[in-house]
Amino acid sequence: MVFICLPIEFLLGLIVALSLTSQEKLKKWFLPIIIIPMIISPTVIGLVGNLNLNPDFGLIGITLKNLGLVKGAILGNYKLAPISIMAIDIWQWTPFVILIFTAGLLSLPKAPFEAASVDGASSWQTFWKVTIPLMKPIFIIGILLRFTDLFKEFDKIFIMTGGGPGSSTEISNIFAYRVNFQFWDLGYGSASVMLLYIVSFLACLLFVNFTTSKDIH
Amino acid sequence: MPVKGKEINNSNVFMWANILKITLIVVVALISLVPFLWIVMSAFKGRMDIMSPTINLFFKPTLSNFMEAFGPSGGFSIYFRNSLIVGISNVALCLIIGIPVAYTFSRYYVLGAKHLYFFILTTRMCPGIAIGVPLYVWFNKLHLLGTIPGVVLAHTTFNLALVVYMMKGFFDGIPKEIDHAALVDGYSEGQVFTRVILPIAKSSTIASAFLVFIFSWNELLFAMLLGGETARTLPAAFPGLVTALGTYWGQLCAAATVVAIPVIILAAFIQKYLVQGLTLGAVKG
Repeated sequence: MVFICLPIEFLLGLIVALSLTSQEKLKKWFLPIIIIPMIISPTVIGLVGNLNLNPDFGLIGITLKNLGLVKGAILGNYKLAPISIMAIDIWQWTPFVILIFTAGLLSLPKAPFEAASVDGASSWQTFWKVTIPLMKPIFIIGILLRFTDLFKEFDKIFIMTGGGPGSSTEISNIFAYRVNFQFWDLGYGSASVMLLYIVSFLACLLFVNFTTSKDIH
Repeated sequence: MPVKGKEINNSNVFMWANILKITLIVVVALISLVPFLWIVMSAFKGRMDIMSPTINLFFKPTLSNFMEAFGPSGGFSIYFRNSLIVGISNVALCLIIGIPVAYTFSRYYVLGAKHLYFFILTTRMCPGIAIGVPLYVWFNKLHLLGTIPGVVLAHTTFNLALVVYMMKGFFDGIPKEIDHAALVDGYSEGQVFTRVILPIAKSSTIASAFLVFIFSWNELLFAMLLGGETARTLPAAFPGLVTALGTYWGQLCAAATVVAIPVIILAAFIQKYLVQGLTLGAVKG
């Protein structure tokens, strides 16, 4: 699930961030609206997903049912539940990527861009050869942060499907929660929790590596 | 030689690109807003309107959901009070511990600073359950389960890293000459901290305070695990509304509105510091 959501959020966020930075006036008013999904509680996001995806009286559910794309439950469907969880996750966290990339794009130095335009580069070339390399640290920070946040994901999946029909949406955190606090097998549960900690530890090492090596002032 | 009738001049392309960008921004803003707006609207709908199988934008607004949830029979006002107490205590605890720690990291030589720094970061990055399991076992023995101080302590585990990182980044930006000037003027080192540096750090302190409050207010896992029945906070009350008798959508939406609106207002205040707080100072701006 992590590996599908990350690229989509990354690309969408980049496209919107690029559009946003070029519009000064719109940015001031639209950025607070765009970051709403990211800042409200994941529990509320779970409720948003639950209510909207309900095929009987939810906004998106009724639309999908009228379009004939789904029959019956969406979050109760073995195949559709993971897809809808991923869609809600993309809805929630793309604003985070947009925010970081906008901040990053605005903080880029002007000198390389002026040099590029003096050298006669077209805007497409400027984008590929100047913007993208300058943004690389921010890309890496964004990817690492999103990876660790996706790894920490618990609240909204718990509220929306609680592990899903069967175990289709059961991610490692929910699995650890179930082993520990529903089956009360604290030995096995502690082992699985330790594995989770080790993975996040390694990701944290990468994050520190990338942020401190660029921090030589 | 330009092909007849197919001359594209620069300004034309520029205008179309602009229109495309504006449309994209508006569409993204709408997509971000509408599902949440549906919940807020549903909070004001009566039961028949929420369950209606067609989407209609006009309905008779009613406050009955709020009255049911937050009235004496609902109990949500107690959860609201719990959330508020936990949030404010958490902010106080994190600031009292975090700001001196950040100042020390910034100004003094700490043995093993890099390793300590890294360890503080891991507390923010590890999954909640990894800390929740041992905390549950310990709090059981310490009789802290189901108490508000227990939940506050649990929230501090990941919020402290936020305060330390944001404030250290800010303190690093204050030149050491100010410290030295104050020391030359006769202040002691503690007084330099409280009378000179802290007033300068006001805006950053408020920003980290708001962020800590937001994260504590939104938190579910620790509130559910370690709060239990007696110290339940607002988000932890949501699963309780999905009963065997049916889901109380109206009350859920009303509670969700109360959970979400203060956060949006707070976030609007600290917009400038939002990026720094969320990326732990890695991205300036």
